[in-house]
Amino acid sequence: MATFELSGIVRNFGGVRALKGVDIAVDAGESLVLLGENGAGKSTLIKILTGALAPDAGEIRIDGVAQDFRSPLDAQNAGISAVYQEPMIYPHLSVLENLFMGREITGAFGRVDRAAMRRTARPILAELELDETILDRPMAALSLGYQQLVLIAQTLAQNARLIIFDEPTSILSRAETERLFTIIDRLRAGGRAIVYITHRLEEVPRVGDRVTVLTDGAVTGGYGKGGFSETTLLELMAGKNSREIEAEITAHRTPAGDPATPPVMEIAGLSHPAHFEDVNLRLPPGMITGIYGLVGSGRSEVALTIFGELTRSAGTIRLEGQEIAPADPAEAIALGIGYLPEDRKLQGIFASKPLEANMTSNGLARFRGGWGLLDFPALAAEARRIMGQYNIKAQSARTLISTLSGGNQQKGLFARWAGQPFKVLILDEPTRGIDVRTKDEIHDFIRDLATGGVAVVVISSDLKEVLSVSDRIVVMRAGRVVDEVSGTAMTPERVLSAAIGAGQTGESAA
Amino acid sequence: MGATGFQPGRIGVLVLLTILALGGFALGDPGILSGPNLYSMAVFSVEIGIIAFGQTLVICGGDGGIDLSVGAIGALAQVLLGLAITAGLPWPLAVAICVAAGAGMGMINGACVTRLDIPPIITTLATMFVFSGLALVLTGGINIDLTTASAAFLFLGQGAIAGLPFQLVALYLPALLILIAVQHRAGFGRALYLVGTSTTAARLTGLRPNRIRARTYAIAGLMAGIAGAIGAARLGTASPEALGQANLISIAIVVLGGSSIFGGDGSVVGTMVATVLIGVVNYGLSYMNFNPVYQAGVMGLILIGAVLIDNAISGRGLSALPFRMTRSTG
Repeated sequence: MATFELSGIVRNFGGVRALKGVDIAVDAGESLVLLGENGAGKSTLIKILTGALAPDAGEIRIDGVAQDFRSPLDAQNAGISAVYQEPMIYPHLSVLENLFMGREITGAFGRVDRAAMRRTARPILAELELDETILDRPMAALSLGYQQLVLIAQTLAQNARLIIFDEPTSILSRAETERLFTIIDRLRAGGRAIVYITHRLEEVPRVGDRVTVLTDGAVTGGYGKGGFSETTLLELMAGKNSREIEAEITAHRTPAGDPATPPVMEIAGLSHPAHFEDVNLRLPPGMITGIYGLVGSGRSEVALTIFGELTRSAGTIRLEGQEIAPADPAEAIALGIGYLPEDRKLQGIFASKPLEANMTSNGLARFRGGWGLLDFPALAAEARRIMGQYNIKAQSARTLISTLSGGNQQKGLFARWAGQPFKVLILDEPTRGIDVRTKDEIHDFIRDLATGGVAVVVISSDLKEVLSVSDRIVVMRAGRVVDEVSGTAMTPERVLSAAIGAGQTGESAA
Repeated sequence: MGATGFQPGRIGVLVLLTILALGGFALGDPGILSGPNLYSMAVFSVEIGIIAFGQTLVICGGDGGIDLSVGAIGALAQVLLGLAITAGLPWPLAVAICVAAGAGMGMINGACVTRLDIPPIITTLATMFVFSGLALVLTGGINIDLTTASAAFLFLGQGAIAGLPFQLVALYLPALLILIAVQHRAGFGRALYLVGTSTTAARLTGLRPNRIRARTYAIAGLMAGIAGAIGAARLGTASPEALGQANLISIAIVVLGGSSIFGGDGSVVGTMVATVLIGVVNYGLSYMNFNPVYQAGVMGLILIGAVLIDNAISGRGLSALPFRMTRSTG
């Protein structure tokens, strides 16, 4: 019996089964690496383990005793704490205050006993080789690497017996990464259990006693130290059904646009000071170009730059041979460029507004009559047409979009763009977080768009999606295009290994 | 009807409260329902009502949109009008200067908010001080007497058409109709609702939030200029301290009328009904010889009361109250 056990964990979001009965176990003094692609269910699993989400089925046991976490506090009291990817800190407060945030040691009349907090902090700082003077510095004055150490110290101050690290090295430099690994070794030697989440293959043997691979919400493999190779892990991450995907790819492959025809859009040397560098892309008409990359690879930023929302530092964008420089999305739309943003809630929907207003928001100019008044009957007719064409299920076009299912909301947003004539249409995560059936429906609509002659770009973190819908795939990593594949070269292994930089051990994407 | 933001529930509550208030005052003294009294209520409500229309659009634009300077704009515009008339300019030109100055001051607010990125509450707090300070400087703090101005000018604030106040029939109601069309029927109004609901989503769908918001401030300034002219004609005086309360009362009226303070919701129709309610209550309190200091307090109570009734009706009920604490899980 392991110290910490999760068994049969199931969690659904709407119609999506994010976790399909996951079992993991980790012992005191042991480290487990959880490996998986974007959307494999790692984050959901961690939220369940830390009490932020409740599982729909399954059980968490500590020392054999079933737990019922109703809040992160319950999990913390049971000895489970997490260090997240992006440090969650109070920047204006001191390190000491951050360390004991919400768990201040208080004396008489609820007075905060700073001296006692210092006494408690001292051995923890020593364990992490941090100087005591750090306690008085404001959190914001520390580098990301040190902030992370403070958060580790926080888990120790909470007496954590299981510490979860969620892609901790994504924000660290090489030296900081090495220091973190040393600390993890020490924590483990001190009898703590470690769960370490990553998609960086090269870190697996360095950190883990064991590795568990999560694919599409299910455990697809588990190995002890030395019992695996990069290739086996990569194949598992890509999905054991990669043959299946390939069959699907060939089945759906549209007669790809002729590469000889002049591209609708040509991007050369496009760079942004913070997000990407020297990106070259040719978008032929009638072709679906997939852009695959991990979160933070710069995919969406390239799209936002083409769309006029971000400002490039170098490079050219040509639309039908003409150089263009849209200053804002309104100009890009007028030129014939559409962009479906990736974050439905924050960038996409107008939650409190009817479906009709949501679907026509980018084409209001077409419905403007005399005196600047809108042609309401025409708007309603357009909304009904779109709802019919894209099979959007809502009582009427006047239904508030926030009351629809995620899939129908997404179809409404998709229709906002697909329902109108664009030369270039960039779809960023067009099916994120929606059920499989709607996903397939949207994929068919995307293929129809390409058949209609639009140069379509599909940006996705979903390997299966990008493989099944694209005519060719551009892979981005750390702000650069690292691979471009089409035809039979489009295998899950090749795309994934380019995206995560497999084989390039030790390289940090900081 | 594609109207968004129109809130029949809240409007119903306000109509009910207005009837209750009128009925209550009538119980105390039926004379309040007499023609002259109702006429006076309308006269006193028009200026703040017109200012509240502009405020409605600014608040609808969201992202902290608010205009604390509308009263100051009205006062400064009115002072410019007074100076123009005393300088011997024809009254229509003076009125045009007044209204244009109002719009210009609104444009300054809009530019500060959208181009210089100064938060609306700070921008308009600052311009409120600047504009009212300027009005005091220009007049030396002394009211400008306009009682000898052309009768045609004074008709703007004192005349009657078919037994109804001129400013109600010829200015307020047309403004209401135009703004209903702007807000609920025009492309601008639709864009304003979308921008007020989500700036990011609006920009990514090809709208220009800054441009749209800047226009709302210009309209608010224009409305304040019109109110300033009406006020000057009504009292035959241009005062640097005119409309001083409108800065805050207009916001209270807009919120009472069902607009969300966060933007993207609400209607000038709600604002109109709220204006009537506040007008009735204020007039009634003075009529019944209550100390005027009660007026502010009563308005605060109405504001809270309307929100609570609204919540109770829409079933949000107790969850909107701060004392039912639910356990946080995140």
